[in-house]
Amino acid sequence: MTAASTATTTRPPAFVHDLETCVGCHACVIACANENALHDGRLWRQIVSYNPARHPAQPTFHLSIACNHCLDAPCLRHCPALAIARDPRTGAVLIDDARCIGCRYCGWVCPFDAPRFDPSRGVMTKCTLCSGRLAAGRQPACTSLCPTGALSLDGHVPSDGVALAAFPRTDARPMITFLPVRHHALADHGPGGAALGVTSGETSPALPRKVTLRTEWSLAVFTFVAIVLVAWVLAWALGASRPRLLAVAGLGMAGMAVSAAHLGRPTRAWRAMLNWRDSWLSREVITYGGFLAVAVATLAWDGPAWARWLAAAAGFGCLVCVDQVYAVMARDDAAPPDRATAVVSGIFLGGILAHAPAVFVPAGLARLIGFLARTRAQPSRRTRDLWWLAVARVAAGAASVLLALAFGAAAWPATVLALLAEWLDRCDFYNRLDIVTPARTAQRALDDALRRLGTPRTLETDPSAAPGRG
Amino acid sequence: MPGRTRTVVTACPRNCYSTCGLLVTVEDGRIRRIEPVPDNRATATGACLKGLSYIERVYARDRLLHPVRRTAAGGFARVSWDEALDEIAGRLAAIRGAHGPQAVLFYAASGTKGLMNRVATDFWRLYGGCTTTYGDLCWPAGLEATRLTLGANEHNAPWDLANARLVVFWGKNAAETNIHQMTYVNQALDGGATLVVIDPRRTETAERASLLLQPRPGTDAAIALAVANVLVARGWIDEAFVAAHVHGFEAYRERVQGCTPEWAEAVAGVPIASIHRLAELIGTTRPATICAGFGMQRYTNSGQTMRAMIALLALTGNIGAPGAGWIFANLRTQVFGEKDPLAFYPPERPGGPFRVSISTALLGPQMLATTDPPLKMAWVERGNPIPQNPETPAVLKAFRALDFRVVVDEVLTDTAREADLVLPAKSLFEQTDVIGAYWHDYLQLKPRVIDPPGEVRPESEIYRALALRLGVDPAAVTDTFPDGSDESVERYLERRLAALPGVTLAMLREGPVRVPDRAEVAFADRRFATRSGKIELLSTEAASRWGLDPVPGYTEPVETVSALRRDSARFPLVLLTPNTKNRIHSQFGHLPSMRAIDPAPRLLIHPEDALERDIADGTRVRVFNDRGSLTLAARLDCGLRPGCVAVHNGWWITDGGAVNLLSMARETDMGHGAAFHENVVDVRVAR
Repeated sequence: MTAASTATTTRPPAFVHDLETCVGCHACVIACANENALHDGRLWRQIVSYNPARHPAQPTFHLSIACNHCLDAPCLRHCPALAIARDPRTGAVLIDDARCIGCRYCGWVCPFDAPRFDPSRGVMTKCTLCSGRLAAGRQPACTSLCPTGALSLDGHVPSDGVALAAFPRTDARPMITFLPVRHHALADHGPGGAALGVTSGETSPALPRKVTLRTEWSLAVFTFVAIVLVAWVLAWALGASRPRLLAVAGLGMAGMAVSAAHLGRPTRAWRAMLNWRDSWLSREVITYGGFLAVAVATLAWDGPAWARWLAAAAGFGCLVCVDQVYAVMARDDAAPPDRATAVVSGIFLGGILAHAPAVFVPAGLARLIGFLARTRAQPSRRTRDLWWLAVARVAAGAASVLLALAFGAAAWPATVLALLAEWLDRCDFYNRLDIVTPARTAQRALDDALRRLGTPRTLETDPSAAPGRG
Repeated sequence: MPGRTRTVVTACPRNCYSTCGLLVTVEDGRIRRIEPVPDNRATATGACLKGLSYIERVYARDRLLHPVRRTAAGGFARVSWDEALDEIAGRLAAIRGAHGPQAVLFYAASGTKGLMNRVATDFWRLYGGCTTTYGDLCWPAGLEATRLTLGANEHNAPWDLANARLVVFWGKNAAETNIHQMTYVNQALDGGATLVVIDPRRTETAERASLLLQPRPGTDAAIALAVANVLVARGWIDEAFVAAHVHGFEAYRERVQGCTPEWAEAVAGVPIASIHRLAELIGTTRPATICAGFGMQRYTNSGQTMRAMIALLALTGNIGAPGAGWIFANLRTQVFGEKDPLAFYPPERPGGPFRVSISTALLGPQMLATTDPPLKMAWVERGNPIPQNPETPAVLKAFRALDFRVVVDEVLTDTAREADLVLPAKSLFEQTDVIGAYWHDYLQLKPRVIDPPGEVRPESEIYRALALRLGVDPAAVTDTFPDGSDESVERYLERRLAALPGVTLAMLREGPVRVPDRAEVAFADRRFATRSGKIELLSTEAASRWGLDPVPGYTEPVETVSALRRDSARFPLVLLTPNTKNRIHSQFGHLPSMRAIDPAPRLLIHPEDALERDIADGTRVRVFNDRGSLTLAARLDCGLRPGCVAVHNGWWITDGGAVNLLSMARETDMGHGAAFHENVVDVRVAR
């Protein structure tokens, strides 16, 4: 029995959110902050507005979102440290402070952006459904203090079948139901302009991303180290010279140290292995350690080809886990060819290191296709900000392949360029990771709605609709 | 530990419609929860985000807990109360000796309501007088227009709005500024009512409307007059009501004859169809309520505008009935003359210890112009006049021209930063008081819940200590000011409450109390305290007191962008400075959770105006006119009327968003209000 399946015994009550009466007043947000003593600007509940720029063709409404205590909670399933569990009394999904290692992964996999890192304690925190209050027969702070009565808790409403385009679509079965907007006779909305055709892209601020290279550089370094080590061992299996034992062991330990340093509670790093049944993050940690052990042993022994292939296979097992860590998140940049980026990266680098065109040419092509797919899946303006990184990455990759093809074994610059290309690719991967958040979902839903309505993309105002502007 | 947790019923003293009851839970001497007080029916669902944020505000890290003195380097350093009070007393005595007491300006704004505020006046009377202000920033034009037309500022009980079949929010965004009113709007809508919003912005309230009119700011009277024109033309007049209760109908009918919807369309820039639709709704829907906001009556023509709006209700018999009426302000609880002698209007015969000579609307220029004696010192409490009063540059200059400034506040506001001495102010939980309201008619006790933190002292004790240092007879001091004990404060309050027979402190201790002369429906007896005893569409007092046309009409705002001049105007955009749910004027914005919700000031601009100026969402722009400029980030808002831009009121100079850097000191046409919403600007990408 997995943690997730044992935990569905108690069904939590569901939030009922009336979009008509909610005016986005933020009282629930402050009520939550008060109840949970969040006075450092960290908030567990957020208001996400649909159509914040008040596009004339759509209503504006607000979603009050915190943890929805999902029946199939991704945070609970994917927590590597088994720190998240369902409260048997209330059904609330709770993070155990004493078990949390502060890896932030629950925040990544939650489509509602509910878990928040508490830097002072190094652990993740989130809405507890005010479990203490619930157990005492009281409502949570947010629902009991909503001035318009828009947010409530109702034990009888099932959470399945949420059909609101502005709300993250997920199979997590969140315990929240929406009552729709009732009034919006927008045809009468004056010179703000029914004739006005502005795309939401023009009026929406660039939304912050959950994961960026700047915040997660240590993970980029760790995964890159893993890829390089696996490639090195693969090259050995393919016939290249034997990697230096100390270099592999040292680099491997350094990668581990860097990834542990990223934890809020590094001393609990060992806990990351506990959820091997359900969490790809646990599997990544275990397989990385396993690969390192096998590789070091094989190197020390100077093992035969089968042993080298075994070590390489262990390495690719780890890289599969690395890719899966990122694949299980709800992402808006869903581009299947890019979902095996670490594995293919390892094959490509291994091919270059071993001077094996039969390996690096197809792998390089796959890298290019994956990269292009990732780039194409990025509709936002941020893509343009990253153009130089994209150009540099493709140029370095292509140059490394051409150099390796032209000069064969003598082409050490090919190796340098390939490493550079793969590092840039890793950076780009983090910079583009487009994890679903409520704000981004609301923005995309507005984009889709406006596209369906076929509003013109140019800014033109019908003068007759706005007489005497001024 | 049981026994160390207690709950106290109190009330929020901010300048806000809702004036919520607050049920405060204290654990081990610290405030832990703020919950609803169902006995206050108007706010039974509990406080807004600001009321809830008191837990953060009271214990905020940047709260002043002791007096501070400006240092030579421009910062502030802690001083003892003795040092601070000795210095103030020395200065006060010296200024009184050299220039007379009226060289001291006492300035208090609306930051904290309550009967205890009277101790300030008590002190300045003992000092020998001072210079004070008249008028008000907030609402005088509307109050005076209502008084002239209906005879009194009263309205139906808040929950009565649920009975309306037509609700018109005219320049009011209740969803942000009076959230509890939305409960009754929703009930009315559930009952099939129609909601109309008239606002240059598509506000959160407008989101629920089936008709939104977005007039050019300051032209609302044109719409009201044109609607009256249609009411007359279509015969949608309640003849019997008008004959019995309206004075001046013939004159008004004549006035609106030329005010056609075509004319109003040209003036106000709203589609003619919308004007007809509004007229039809007002003409054919009973009962109808108009909820008028405060922002709209901060224009140079706004008193007459408000009179024209009330006229629509008079013509259709929508006064004095359930679900009908004019909701602007309910002054039933304002029975204590808290502002006495700081009356709204300057005294008819000047003289006495108080020189009531400075119009609040003109604070900066008139402080600078004051002579005989000129101002040497200012004492500011309950207010932040430098960013909040019109023409911030002039206010700043006037304060800097003084020899000595004392500010009492909870935090270092823009005004406090200009002071020589800043004294720490009590929070709402730290002294007992009695609070009135202006939307509902509850009087509420605001008991002391916790002890003042640090060295904080309530104003009554500051004044008491100062009076003793100034050599006032100790018996008079004891007689005038309560001492530090709750009993003494309660005795002081009981003396003040004696002015209102039927309400005692003991009753208030049981919970919120509606004033004895309350009425569910205002003017139900159809008695109007005007000169004619009727609703006056023709007011001779408007002419005699304010020099205005006795019959309301439309005059163009002094500072505006007309439809014709838009392309050639030097400043082609009208700046709106609406309030936000996140602050009460300049309060609350400094709290970390408010910062998390609303991190920085923004210029809201319509995409059409933005595109003309190469402005995209997030672009840093300069908003400017001849008076000043602001540099902030742009946010595109399709819901704004093109030609209007908006910056929320209440950001500080230190936030980079003080909107009155752009406004001008001007009075409204009546009531000595501030016409500081009348501003034209232009916007450019910041370099």
